[in-house]
Amino acid sequence: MIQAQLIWSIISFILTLMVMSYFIKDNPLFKLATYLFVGVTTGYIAVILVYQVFLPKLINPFFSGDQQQILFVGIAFILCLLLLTKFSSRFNRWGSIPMAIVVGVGAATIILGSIFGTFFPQIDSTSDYFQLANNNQGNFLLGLYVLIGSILTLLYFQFTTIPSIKLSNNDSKLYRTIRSAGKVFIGITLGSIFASVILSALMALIGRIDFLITFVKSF
Amino acid sequence: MAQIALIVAKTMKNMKICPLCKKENLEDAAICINCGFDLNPSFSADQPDQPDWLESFRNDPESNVRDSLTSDPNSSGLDSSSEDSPDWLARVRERKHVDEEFEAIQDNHNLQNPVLPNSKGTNELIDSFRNNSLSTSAENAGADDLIDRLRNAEDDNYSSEISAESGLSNKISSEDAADLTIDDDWISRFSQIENSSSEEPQKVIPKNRGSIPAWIQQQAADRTPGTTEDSPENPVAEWIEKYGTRDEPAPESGDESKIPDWIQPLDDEDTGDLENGEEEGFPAWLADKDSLPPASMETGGQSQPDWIDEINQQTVDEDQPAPEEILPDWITEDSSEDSSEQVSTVLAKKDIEESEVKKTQSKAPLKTTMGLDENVGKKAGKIESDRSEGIAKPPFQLDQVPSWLENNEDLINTSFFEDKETKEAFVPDSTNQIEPGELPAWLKAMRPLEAIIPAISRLTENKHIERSGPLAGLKGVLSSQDSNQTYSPPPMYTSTLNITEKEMNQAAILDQLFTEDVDIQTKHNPIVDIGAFIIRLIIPILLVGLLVFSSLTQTGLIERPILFPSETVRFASIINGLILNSEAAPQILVVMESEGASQAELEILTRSVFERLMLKDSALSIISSTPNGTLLGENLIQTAAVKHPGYDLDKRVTNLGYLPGGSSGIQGFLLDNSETIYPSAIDEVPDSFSNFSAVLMITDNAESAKLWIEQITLHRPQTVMLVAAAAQSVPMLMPYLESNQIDGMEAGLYGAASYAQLIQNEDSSLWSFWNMQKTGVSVFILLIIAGGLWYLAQFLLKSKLPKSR
Repeated sequence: MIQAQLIWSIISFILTLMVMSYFIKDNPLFKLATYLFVGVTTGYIAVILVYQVFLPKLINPFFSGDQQQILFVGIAFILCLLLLTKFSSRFNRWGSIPMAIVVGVGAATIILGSIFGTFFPQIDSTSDYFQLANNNQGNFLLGLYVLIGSILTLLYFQFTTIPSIKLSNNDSKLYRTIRSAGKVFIGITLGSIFASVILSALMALIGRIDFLITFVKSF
Repeated sequence: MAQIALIVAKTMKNMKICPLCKKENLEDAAICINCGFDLNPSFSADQPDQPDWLESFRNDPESNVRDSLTSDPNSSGLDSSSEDSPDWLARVRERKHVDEEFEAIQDNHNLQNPVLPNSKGTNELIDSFRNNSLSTSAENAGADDLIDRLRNAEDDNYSSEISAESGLSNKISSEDAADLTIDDDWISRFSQIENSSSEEPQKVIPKNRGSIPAWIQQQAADRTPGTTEDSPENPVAEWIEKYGTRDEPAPESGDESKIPDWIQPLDDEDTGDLENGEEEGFPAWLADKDSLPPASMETGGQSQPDWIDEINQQTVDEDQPAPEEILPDWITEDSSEDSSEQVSTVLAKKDIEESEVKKTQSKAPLKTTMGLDENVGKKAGKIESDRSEGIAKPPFQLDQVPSWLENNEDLINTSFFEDKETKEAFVPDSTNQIEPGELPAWLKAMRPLEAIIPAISRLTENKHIERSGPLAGLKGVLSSQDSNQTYSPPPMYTSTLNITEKEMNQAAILDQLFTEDVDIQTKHNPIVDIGAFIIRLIIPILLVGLLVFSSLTQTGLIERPILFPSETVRFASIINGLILNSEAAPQILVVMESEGASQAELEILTRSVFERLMLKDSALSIISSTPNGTLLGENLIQTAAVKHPGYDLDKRVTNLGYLPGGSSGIQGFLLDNSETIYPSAIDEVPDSFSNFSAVLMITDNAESAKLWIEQITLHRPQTVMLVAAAAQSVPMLMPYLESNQIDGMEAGLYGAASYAQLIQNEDSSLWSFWNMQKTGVSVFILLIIAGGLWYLAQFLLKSKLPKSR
């Protein structure tokens, strides 16, 4: 067991150095390491799909003896076969049936979740700052900041010009000022996301350096 | 007058009526005693001897005239002339010439006889002659009707010839029929009129037509029975036929001295047949007119008017291949050449001269078509020789059509002459001055066929006659041959585009885009900038060096977090509540939404949490919407379990497996977990999702976390939601934290350090990471500041340089 950990630690150490060789320039060692990771990940995912999806959820139910389950699985199996017709230029239109089901059900689920899981809760959260009975009643300025920031950010993505409203005209100085203010909020948001990504990348680097140091210290 | 009366008395039964003035003349009269009209045909060209019909006509003139005309077309001069049917244009000229001659005669006659007793009757004759009434119902009205009818018939013939252009043979036949009726009429009326003239023996002179020419008067005065006997017995039928065909009188005279000068030139053409005519007892020139070619006119020793000479000459020309001199130069030049290809070329070049070409073709029997063909010339010569030999046989066979008959519409309409150039068929008519239509230029441009195959290839004259094989003698049956011969390369057209300046500019922009694209693709590898390469090496080396130094030194310069985020406080409170407040071991659903990139960070985040939960021997169920998420989750738990060896991973940790389907799979799992999770784990998890004490979502992917949060908010809003998020996903999850959709969150390393501070966990690795992160962040801050200053300096330098310049 210890030898196995040692072997895997050596492999991990070598692969880590191969990836870090990219500091110098793009080289075959880096490419080999990346290809290896991609290959291993793909192989693992394939095995997972076979053993955790196809066999238990598509094949084994046929041998369960439950008629209802067989019926449902049979329909799913037919849809899967129809999906394979996407490879044929002659019968590919039959593959549109399962694709339509998947896309339709997925879109309905996402839209429903977005409306009731994101949109309404966020509106409610934004208005909470202006409710006197709320615990955040003391953060009126924070609520105002969130409200203005939300409005300006949404106005920045307003690309449709309404002729009857001069404010929506791109030539309007007020509208351009609003859009510029909206860009400020968007910049702050993207800056924070970028900083978070840097921190995560830095944490990945730190983890590898920590591994290297630990590996070296182990000897 | 006395002589004329004597003659009339002798020939009461066999008298002939002048077609011009309708006056009766003796049977053997050569010319009309009244108007001097030539009572004998002047175009009996092709018979060397006296024809049979003439003899039969002597016996029974009235009955045999018709038979001779209809039964044997070659026996009369008319038929021979019909064979050699001249072109309409020649007819026009001849008619004009005859009219002039006739008017001159009439004028002369009027001058000499201003008032005559029968002048009124003469006018009626002329009027009836003009009315073109071929019927003989008005024969008692006098011989004047005949003149008018003949003149009108002549006009009709002329117009019909113009409209039909080449339908000569039909006209000839129709004219023959008309002449037959006329012939019968005037012959039947001959005796009546002659009787009346005998009762009043006086000069029959047209009233208003001028005086009779001197030669006619002399003839009338000097006419003796002997001279009349020398004339042909019955040449009337032929000359009427000739008249019907040629529409011109043929004056004749037995006395050379009494014939006007305009008849003289004809004698020059007559040769040896003269003697034959004399031997047979009638004037040689008359015999020539009846049966012989124009050359026989010389036999009578009489001169012939110029117009007759022209007609005869034309007749001869039509029977024989046209001499080179008659044809235009451009045709004679091509005559030596072979094919119709050159003819087509010439015609194509001389479209303007097309009318002249027609004229030339009418005069010379189509030197441009079959006239160029030697075979056709030989055939024409053969026909001529047959005529001279007196052989009565068809002038030509259908496959040996003379060239001049190709213009005959009836023959062209046969299957052998299907193609007929419409443009050629057009004849300008005085009543219909419609010019030939011409296609517009744009329509011509859309017809490349005309560009490749010239229009001349469709001409009838351009057809090729097959000389051998089963199709021998047929014309134009192999149309491809003409196309091959007349093929010419297509014309060159300009390829210049007519585009506007705006389009030109747009094309230039498009070309520039492609040019830039090609330049980018063909660029060589950029020259390595040593400075950039050094900076690229220095930064990572500096960063890694500082991180290693920070990890090794463990300096106390870096402070630990003092202010704890509220979400982290709530996160710690919830975890403590799950451990402390519940009597049974809590069942925690671990949702692992990561692909391994932030595995180190997530390990730091979740290590203290899992260690805390393991204190209570919590049941951990791992599920993930990513295939390798469960594997990473198990790794985190195994790492945390190192410090808790009593925690039974096999029993307390359940891998629910990969959850496919995205949001749909999550929704299905939330609604009925038994249908979606890994079947082997069904017995180890709660029957319902609501039985889980809390959901611990470990994620570095904000989008996947959003799906879980939305679906849990929608379907399981009462679920305790804890999130351990990597730093990169924290900004996107903060709104859900503010909306209390997330109950507690451990955000990034700062949250992990805060949580460790809250639970007073002294994890060395955590603080080592803390120190290294702070060092690294400091380096990044310095690099960002240095980069900002560098670009600011460059901006200032660039802004100052233009001012200094």
